[in-house]
This record gives sequence, C-alpha cells and structure tokens, in this order.
Amino acid sequence: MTIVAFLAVCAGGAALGQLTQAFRRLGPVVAMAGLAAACAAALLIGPADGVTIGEVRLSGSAYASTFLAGAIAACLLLCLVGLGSGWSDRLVPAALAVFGGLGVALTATDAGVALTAAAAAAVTGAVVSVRSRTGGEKPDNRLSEARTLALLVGSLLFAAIAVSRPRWADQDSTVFALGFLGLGAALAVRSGAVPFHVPAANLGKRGPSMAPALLLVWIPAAIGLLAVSWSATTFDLRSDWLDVGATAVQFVAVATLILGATGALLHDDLTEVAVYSIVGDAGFILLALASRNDGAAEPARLWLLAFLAAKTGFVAWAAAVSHAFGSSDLGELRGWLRRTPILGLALVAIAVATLGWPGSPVYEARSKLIDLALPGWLGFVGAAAIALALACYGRLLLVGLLSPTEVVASASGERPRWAPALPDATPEAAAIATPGLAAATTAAPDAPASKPKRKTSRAAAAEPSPTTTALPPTSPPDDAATAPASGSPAGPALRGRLVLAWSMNGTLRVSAAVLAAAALSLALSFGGLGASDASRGGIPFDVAAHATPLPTPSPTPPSTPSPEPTLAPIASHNPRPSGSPGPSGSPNGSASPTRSSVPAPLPIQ
Amino acid sequence: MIELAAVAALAAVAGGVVAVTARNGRTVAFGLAVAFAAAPLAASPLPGQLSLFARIAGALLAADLLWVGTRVNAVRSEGSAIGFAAEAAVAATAFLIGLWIAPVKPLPGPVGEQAAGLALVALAVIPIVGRDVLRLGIGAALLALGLSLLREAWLGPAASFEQFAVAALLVAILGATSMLAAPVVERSSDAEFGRFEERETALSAVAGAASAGTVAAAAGPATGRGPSAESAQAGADYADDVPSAADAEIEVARPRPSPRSGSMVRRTRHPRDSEPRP
Repeated sequence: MTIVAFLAVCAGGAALGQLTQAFRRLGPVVAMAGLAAACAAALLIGPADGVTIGEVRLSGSAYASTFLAGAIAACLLLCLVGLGSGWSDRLVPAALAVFGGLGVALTATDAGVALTAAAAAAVTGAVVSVRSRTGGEKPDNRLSEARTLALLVGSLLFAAIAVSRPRWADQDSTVFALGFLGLGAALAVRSGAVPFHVPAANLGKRGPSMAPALLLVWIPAAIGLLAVSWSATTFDLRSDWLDVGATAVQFVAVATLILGATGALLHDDLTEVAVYSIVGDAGFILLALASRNDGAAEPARLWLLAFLAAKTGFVAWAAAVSHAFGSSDLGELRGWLRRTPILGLALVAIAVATLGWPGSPVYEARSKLIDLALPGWLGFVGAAAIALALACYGRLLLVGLLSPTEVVASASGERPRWAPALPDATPEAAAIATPGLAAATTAAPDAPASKPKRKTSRAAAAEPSPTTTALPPTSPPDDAATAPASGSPAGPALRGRLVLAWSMNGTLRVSAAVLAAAALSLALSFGGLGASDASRGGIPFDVAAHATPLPTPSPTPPSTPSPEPTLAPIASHNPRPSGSPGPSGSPNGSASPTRSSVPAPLPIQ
Repeated sequence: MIELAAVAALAAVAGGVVAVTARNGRTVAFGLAVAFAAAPLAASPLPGQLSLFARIAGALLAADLLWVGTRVNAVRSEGSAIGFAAEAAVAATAFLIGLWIAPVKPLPGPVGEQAAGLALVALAVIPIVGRDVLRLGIGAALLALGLSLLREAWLGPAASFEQFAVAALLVAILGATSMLAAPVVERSSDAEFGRFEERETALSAVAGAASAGTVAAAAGPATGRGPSAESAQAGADYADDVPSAADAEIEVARPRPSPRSGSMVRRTRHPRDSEPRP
C-alpha cells in the first residue's frame, strides 16, 4: 500500500499545486508540503511492499525508495533555494507528476508499463521548459523541447516493444539492436548528449533556471536506471548489429563526456556551465548502457544517486549565485567567493560528490563504468573527464577568489545583518512586520526578475525601502498597535527586527539551502543514507528483466486474466550483488534467455 | 461480416488523417479523439470495460486539453505540410503494407491493428520533422498511439494497467503540447512606474519566418490581482496571469503566412465563445 500511497500523494500534490500556483503565498506552501509528503511516502516504500493493479505487479525495493526519496529531497532543497532566488510556479506540480510516473516506472515489473510510464513522466516534465520571459529574447526552446518529447516517446515505446521480445519471423537481433538504440536514443535525447545537446543548451539559455534539474537530471536518471536494467540481459547478444549499436552508444558517451565537460569549461554563463556539466556527467549513464555487462549495474545505480543529488545541487548553486549577485555572467562574478563563502563550500562539496577521490565509492563507480564500457585504449577518457571537471570547478573557484567586481562588491553577500535600531517601534518595523509589506520587500527575490529588478530588491533590502518609509506613521499595523497593550512593549519591536533580519538575509538562507543540497549529494555519493546497500539490490524491473517474461504465443481469452510476471522464481537468488555468478554460471544469475532458441514459458501464478 | 476491430482500425487511421490535416483546433481535437477512442477497439479480444473506459476518457480528456489550449491561446495551424491527399495516400499505403507484411509469426493480435499502427506511425513522420510545435505534438501523440497498437498486435492484448499508462501518456503529450504551443506573453516591467508592457511574440522557431513578426499589443496597468500600483516586483509574481481587460483591444498586425508553410498563426485572446478568425 505504500506504493499506492506514494502515487496518491504525488497525484494529489500535483493537482493541488497546479490549482494553487496562482496564489502567491499559498502556492509555495502547498507545493513544499506536497514534496515533503511525497518524500516521506517514498521513504516508506520497502522491498516487501507490492500491489497488483490491472494485472501488473508494482513491487517496492530499497533502491526505488532511495532513488525517489533522494530525488524528491533534492527537489525540496531546490525549491527552498527557489523560495529565495526565484520561485518557479510550474516546477513543483510538474515535478510531483513526474515523480508519480517514475514511481510507477521504477516499481513496475512489466516492460510496457514501466517504459510507457517513464515516457509519460518525461513528457509531463516538458511543461517546465517554458516560462514567461521578462526580456526580449525569443524563447525558442519550445520547438527543441517538442522535438525532444517526440523522439523520447518514440524511442521508449519502440524499446518497450523490442525488449518484450515478440516472436519475430526473422532473426531478431536486428530488432534488438534497434531496441537498444531506442533506449540509448531516449537516454541521449533527454539527457542532452552531444548530438542532441541543442535542446539542453536552449534550456540553459532561455528556460527557467530550475528546469534543468527536472529535465536533465531526474528524468534521465530514471530512464537510465530502466535502460541499465535491460542492458545486461536482453542486449547481451553477440550480434553484429548489436555490436554496432553498442559502438554508437559508446561513441556518443565518450563525446558527451569530453565535449560536455569542455562546454562547461568554456561557457561563461553559470546556468550554461551547470547544464553542460550535467550533460557531460550524463555520459556515464550511456556508458552503463553500452557496457551490456551485469557488473555495471551496481556502480551505475550508485552513480545515478550521486548524479541526481550532485547535479541538482549544482543547479541550485548556480541559481543561488545568480540571485545573490544579480548576474549569471562569470565575467561579472569575480570575487563571488569572498562575498558568499558558504556557496564556495557548497561548490567544493558538489565537486567532491561528483568526482570523489580514488577509493571513494563514487570514484570507483565512475572508473568501473569506464572499464566495463570502453576498450582499454580509451581508458584515458575517465581521467580526461575528471581533469576537465576539475578544471571547470577550479575555474569557478578561482574566479571567486579574484578581486570583486562592482557587481559583486555592491551585493549584500552572506554576512548576517540585523535590523537597524528601532527606537520605539518605528513605522518601518511595524510595516515590515505587516505580512503584505514584508512580502513586498521579499517579493523581488522570489520573482523571476531580470537583473535591474534584483538590484532593486537588494537595494531595498540593504536600506529601508521607499515602500515602507512612505507609509503614514499614523497607520501602524493592527498587531503592532495591539501588542503593547498586552503588556510586552518590546514584543513588536523585537518581532519587527527579527522579521527584518530574516528578510535582509535572503542570501544567507539560500546559501544554507544550497549547502544542505550539497551535503545530501555528498552523503549519497559516498554510499550513505542507505545508498550503497540499495545500489546492490536494484529495482523490480531488474528482476523482471532477468526473468525475461516472454509473450504468450496466442491471444489471451477475454475471460482469462493476462499472464502476470512473477517475482517468485527470482526471489531466491535476488537481490544479489551484481556481477556475482548465478546458479547457471552466467554473470546475471540466469540462463540468458536471449541466447535460447526455444522461448521459455512464462511463469503464471 | 464486418469485424469491429477492422472498423476501429480504419477509424483510428481516419482520425489520424483528420488530425494531421485539419486547420482549426476543433477539428484537430475531433480527429485525435476519434483516433484515440477507436484504437483500443482495434484489439482482439477487446480490452476490459475498465480499460476501455480509461482509454476513451483519456481520449476525450486529451482532445479537450488540446482544444482548450488552442482556443484559449488562439493557436491555429496551417494544416499539413504536404496536404490532405498526400497524407491520406501515405496512410493508405502504410495501412496496406501493414496488412501485407508479417514481421511476427504467429501474429498475436489482429492484422488490422498492425496495419493501423503502421499507418499512424507513418502519419506521424511528417509533423515530427516539421517546425510547428502543435503539429509536432500531434505527431508525437500519433506516434505513441501507433506504437501502442503495434505492441498489442505483436505481443497480444495489453494488461489493464498498461492501458491506463497509454491513456496517461496520450493525455500528457497533448497537455504538454497545448502548453508548448501557446503563444508567449513577453512582459517587461518598469520597476519605477509599476507598469507592465506586454507583447505577444510570434516565435520564429515555431511559427516560421512568415509569421515571425512581433506584435505590439498593449501597454497598461497590470492585472488587478497584482499589487501593480505599489510594486512592480510583486506584480512580477503574477507572471502567468494574463490581463483580460486589455486583451479585447489587442489587434494583431502581421503579414499572413503563406499557406502550406507548415507554420502556425497565433492571434491574441478572443472571447471564449468566438472562434478565431481565419
């Protein structure tokens, strides 16, 4: 029932978030509450939980729980950052709908349901790619996003056909190669791998600042998880066509690793740096698919957890820096580290969570994926990717250490500031204590404002704003006027000061949220929070892939329920550390059904 | 005797042809609704009642989303890039090929379902390679429908939950399409005066060069819901609120795109009970 509860929370949260997104105060509250509830529901999903809906079994697993909870927690932290740096109305409803779809995809044991649900989730996420612009740019990322959507849907549904193994009249290796390429194409298109990186670049340039986290991190990670589940078993055929397909995916992965990291190194806009960094690291997911080796499953799962948390943290970091200084141009951000050291610490943590060091789980996972997926002479790719990523992060930190530019110098930074002296409950304090005016003071950071507006908001925060001082002194707010009568004359003043201090330290709050996101990514990257154990188990789709449910040769009579893939035969030897030899001697623990000429009967409960 | 599955397969293809060739949102939505609702009936045996209800409800919801999206946002399409006759020919050819080939032996589903699936996939190709967001979304929906038909034809009847998933996918595709195809209201704010200037911008990438003119629309106070007089910043929180008072006064002056350009003409919002003029 926990799975049903999770799906219900996601659906309800998405609906409520959509209904309340027009309300400026209620919308974020409902959205955050929905995310928190969804995160809690995801944590409750256990390996023993399961439900059968419409002849399809949804089974819980430790990894599905960790993956969903990690992604939702990262989304929650991203929204905390967004509360201070620019709230995106569409993000949370779309994200909750996506997480609901991914919840089905990651718990379903049927290939058709899992890949169709993943496609639906990915399509739903596309709505966050559009925003109402405040500038004069032409938001032409819609066309590229619509193309991505179409390619993704086609690729995933075709792959769903191929991996379900129809009884092809001819040799089916060609179709398997096309199915393999379909999965690879879906992954590459959605994650912005190098031949398909234009939509991702457009998203970085013209889309909402938080959108890359949903579209380029969470969704590709889930699709990658599904793809890796089938990689070792269904696509472990040694045929020329499949080898060609695997080589193509390897080529794309290597190009993505190198060129993505290079793009992150060369671009000057922080959002684009984050996007290209995400694109580059998504190459490891393609490597996991290309390896077609069961031993790649466990490191791939761990890498996916690290990827989704660390890259979400990077997106949050870029949004926070852009908000703090009113600019995302690296040329204008010289000296940012001096004004926002917490963000510097967060960036270091994100870099460590992404790259690790020799012997650390995330480093070993990356190394193993390269070893398994690429021939030996291409082993330098891993070192090159690390070097380029280090150069990218080092460049950001180095720019932050230089002498501050005027933009940075005029910013408020993270240093805590307190309310100015309020001798006797001045109208300013009273006005700040008024919710509406406090909202007006903090409205600009929340709004998707352009550069001049952010500067205006900072100026408003740095000194008493004209709005507050323009209030007539004879009209204090009700609570400020009534509080002294209750016997605590210092109450309103203190509260006013606290509220003012809270509103003046928006940068500090945002930086703290980014640091929390970086800490989450560090924990997951190093196997904490159950990530290491969960990565060994996989998702029910892995079990179904190993069981390889084959289609029944004849149509099922209408009165008879369709055959249901069962987990029972697998339960005895799964979950099992990937790569360990199974009873049959094959690496995946089962006689590879793809190599058998006679299809095995489908187990029926 | 005429089988229901064969009729449904033909109806699905016919709906697809109407959807990719029609020029106004209502007809496009009708064609898609017919295609989506007829597709599950092309299976043999028929899906269960609940699955059938879910598919038909999903079809109506998806078509309604597209219709509302195109009507409220005044999105119109110039129709197929190759014309009705060519689209119909493509669909008919693919349908015949689908009747003839036998990639899976024995075929678990009806051959008409396979033919309809191939025809819908073929119909989806032209819109997907175009530059019209609305057409692209329609093509993606037809592609998904065609592949789901092929899957059922090659693998046998889908499970009930898969029918739900397919319905959800189709709704998601058309819902996302209606949002992606909506015209963008660009809003530049003047922080000092608390006034917004709105412009409806033709998207060059979406609408093609012919309709890429930017239309100056209205410059007036922001919507009454936002604190427009006091704070432009707070008003910016209502970025998705489109003022309604000024909309009726907005006039569009842009060169008409040439027909068959595969482009999409957008106009400003109209009263809800009126159709956009051609």
